[in-house]
Amino acid sequence: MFLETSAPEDITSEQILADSGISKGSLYHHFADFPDLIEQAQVYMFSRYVGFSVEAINTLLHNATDRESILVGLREISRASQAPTLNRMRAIRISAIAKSVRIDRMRNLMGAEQERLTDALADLYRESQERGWGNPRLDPKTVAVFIQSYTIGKVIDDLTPQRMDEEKWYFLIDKILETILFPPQVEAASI
Amino acid sequence: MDFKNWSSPIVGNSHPTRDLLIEKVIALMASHPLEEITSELVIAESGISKGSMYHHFKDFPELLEFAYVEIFARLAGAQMAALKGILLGSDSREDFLTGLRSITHGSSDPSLFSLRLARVAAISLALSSPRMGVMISAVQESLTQELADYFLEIQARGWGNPDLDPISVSVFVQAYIVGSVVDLITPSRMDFDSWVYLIDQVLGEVVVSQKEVTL
Repeated sequence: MFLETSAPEDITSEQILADSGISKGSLYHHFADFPDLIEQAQVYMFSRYVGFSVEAINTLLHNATDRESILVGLREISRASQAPTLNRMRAIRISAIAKSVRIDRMRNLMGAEQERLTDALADLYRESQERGWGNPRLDPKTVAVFIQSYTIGKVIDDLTPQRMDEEKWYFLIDKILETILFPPQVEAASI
Repeated sequence: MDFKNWSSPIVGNSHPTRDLLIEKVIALMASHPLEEITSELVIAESGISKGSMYHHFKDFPELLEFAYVEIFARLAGAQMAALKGILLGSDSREDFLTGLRSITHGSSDPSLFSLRLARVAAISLALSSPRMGVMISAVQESLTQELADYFLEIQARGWGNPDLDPISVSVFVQAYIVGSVVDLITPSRMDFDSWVYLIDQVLGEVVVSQKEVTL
């Protein structure tokens, strides 16, 4: 809960104990140390986000009837997943990735969740290719990494006091979706 | 890119001992996993005493923070220099695209993993530490602006897609490079050539204009 409002580094064990009413002994019975609790909370938040995203993607694929409807759905998902108000989520994800590089136990937890999201996105794209909407020349896993890359990399814009014009960003993302990832005419011969 | 021959520190005050310590940490970051860079290692490698180190830096994390900011600024500077070189050497849209491709190859090169991770670590610290946030924010702002000006120049030459907003393009190009670290923490990795192909498509078909526009 504290992760939604504070940076992971600013949360103290005293804060958590006071707020949760759980004893110190009980906390350290369940977690190796305090950083372990914070790491698990970060992974838990990321997991929830993964679950939410996978569900949105599956719904989209289930309801899509043509290329146009999948583009409309993806535009909505772009706006929902890249909103300026999700800056805390981006910060938590970047912090979790940075920790995964340094800390083995974090890498094991995060790596599995990250793979689940990448695989789900890749499956969505493969399915779109089979239905004749996705670009057959692209590798589904690469597309999955690419979509996440610009979504999470948008953190670049959170760093500066002056923010870019949100609508112009979505205009660029929409162009990429409709020109490269879901091009107008996919020739059946090239599949 | 040869990270050892970079110029002297860009950010902060300069003092020979302080600079040497920052240089040493940067060199270690290029050759060691981040978790192996300890104060003991830096002291052993630099020959500078513990007392002197803590005279210049409040604590070891502060030295790491300065090294991160420095790496961040230099990566940005090196990328801008490479982009400017491409612009100077291009007489046509095709020349320019070929140049951009070489940058995609360079910036996604697996040998730069540790430096890309250092940039992510720097961003992560910037979002949680106000001191670091102020330093990174200034570097980031000038980088975004410089890249946007660059795209404006590309548009003026008739090579850039005139419908796109330079600031959005600037953020986007940085975003996919930084964000591609999601692939570095999973047990299995994507295929590098497929990535280069996809980025080529996006740059060639969306960011750069479809055909040369005569203005």
